[in-house]
Amino acid sequence: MLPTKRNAKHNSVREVEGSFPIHFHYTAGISTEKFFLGLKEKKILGNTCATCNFTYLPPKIFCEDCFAELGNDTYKEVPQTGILESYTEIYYDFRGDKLETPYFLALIKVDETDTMFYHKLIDTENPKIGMKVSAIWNDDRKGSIHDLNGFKGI
Amino acid sequence: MKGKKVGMVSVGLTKFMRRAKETPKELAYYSAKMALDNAGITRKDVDGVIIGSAPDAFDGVHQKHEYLTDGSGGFNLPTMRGYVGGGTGVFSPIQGWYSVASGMNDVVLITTEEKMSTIQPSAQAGFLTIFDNMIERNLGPNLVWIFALEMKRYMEKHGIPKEHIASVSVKNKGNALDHPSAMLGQKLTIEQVMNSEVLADPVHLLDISPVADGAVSFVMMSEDKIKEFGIPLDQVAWVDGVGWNVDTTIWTNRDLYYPKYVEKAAKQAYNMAGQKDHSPETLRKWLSFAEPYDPFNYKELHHLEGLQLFGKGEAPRAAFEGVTARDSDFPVTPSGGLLGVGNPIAAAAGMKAAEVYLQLTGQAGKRQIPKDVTRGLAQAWGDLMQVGTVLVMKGGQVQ
Ligand SMILES: [Zn+2]
Repeated sequence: MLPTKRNAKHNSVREVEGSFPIHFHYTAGISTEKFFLGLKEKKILGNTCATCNFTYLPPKIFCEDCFAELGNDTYKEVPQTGILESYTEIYYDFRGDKLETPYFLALIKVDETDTMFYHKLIDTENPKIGMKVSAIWNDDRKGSIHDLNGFKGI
Repeated sequence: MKGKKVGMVSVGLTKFMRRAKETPKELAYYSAKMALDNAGITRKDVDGVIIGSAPDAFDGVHQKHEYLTDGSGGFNLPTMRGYVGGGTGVFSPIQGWYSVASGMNDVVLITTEEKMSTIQPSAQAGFLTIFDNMIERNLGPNLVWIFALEMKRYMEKHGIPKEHIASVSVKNKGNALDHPSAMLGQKLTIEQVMNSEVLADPVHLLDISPVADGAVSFVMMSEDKIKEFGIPLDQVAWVDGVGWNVDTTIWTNRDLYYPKYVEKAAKQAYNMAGQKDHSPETLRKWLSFAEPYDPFNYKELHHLEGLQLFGKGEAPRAAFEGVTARDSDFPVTPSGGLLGVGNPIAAAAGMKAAEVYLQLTGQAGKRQIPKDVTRGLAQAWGDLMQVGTVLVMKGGQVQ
């Protein structure tokens, strides 16, 4: 915990270096583990609350509205296509550093689901809200959101 | 209005700065002390303390409620921290209201504080910690991006020209020139806003509020205590209505063009104040002005629609045509807002609530709205884009 380099300019001890040296093993959870295992098999899994007739993607173990538990029999494979609902072209990374190559992020309403799905929009020349998009898979799938490379306009 | 009658009797604001010499606790102390001094009371008169501060990640201090307690005046007092992300600064005076309205406390000291300059290399990296760990964080979202998705959706839905949205930056940064706490008051043109650097299309640099360090405090009291201390009514703003609402925590799971959670929070506040007609024309007469949350220029417009002050898709044109200027019929963000005064998260929304108090009590100096003002509204928005918090106050002599 020493003074930062920036102090040298004004001969002060205005700031001191520091960090939180911690690391985590986050629990994927009942529903997200099923979802990740599905991605590994090139399947997109959602689940449906029958009472509300509402399909969650990613799946959840409960319906946030009627608060019913969504058991094993509520999961289903959903289509790998959807509608582009919004998108943005990113010029800075999440830390605020300028990107060499800007890229697109999107909100996609996957067919037969009632939620919007956040992922990259790739290989799409003229994106337009309302266009049809299709999932593009990574050949090297490990059971994570990166098993999908993103969605592409079709 | 339920419960005991509650009035705000003073505020204290530090300057908003890019990098303050003071620690978060020291900033909290300065604003808290100022609020006490302005009320003409001491810490010994206070019987409850409320702290509002946003994600711990920014200050690099965990348990910020405990860390901020002494600076906020909480030593040996019932002290609590409320936290609803960006919505916190308006939620904190709401907490002040219910702790007095319930009869639990008679005099509360409320402090909203944020220090955004601690985190390196920039505050944006800290926002990563508020997203879902499994899916969203792996795609590295930051707030500029998700607001870009929302702004695009809003513009597309109503066919809004970017010029109309850019006019909000011009208005608010211009209003901030008259705010003594302001970090970035500027005279700008719509062209300068439109031509500023693209961060995440359609969001440009001058569409966004600057991160800052700062603190804002309030003193709130029961009517009995106001009489006991002999505080003149022209120095009081009564709480007239409060509301807050949380939409789904799946931020992607809403149609982003319209903030329903703000509508619900606003209607709760209007109904509490006895205002049952929620048409925009009626509400714009009932309220003299509004301070909606403006971390991005489009958000002021989005929120004005959620607040029912303009119809869906109608706020952008109104702003562009000057309907919301400080000297117009319905001034919006006379303070200069987050866009102009700066955005130390919880303190920024605290500044908006403070502006309602200052305008209603005629203490806004060069920012004072030229027409008579009897009732004002402050609104904030937060968590992961799903919290709306609304506070309506009226002047001390208004029945
Ligand atoms: Zn349900």
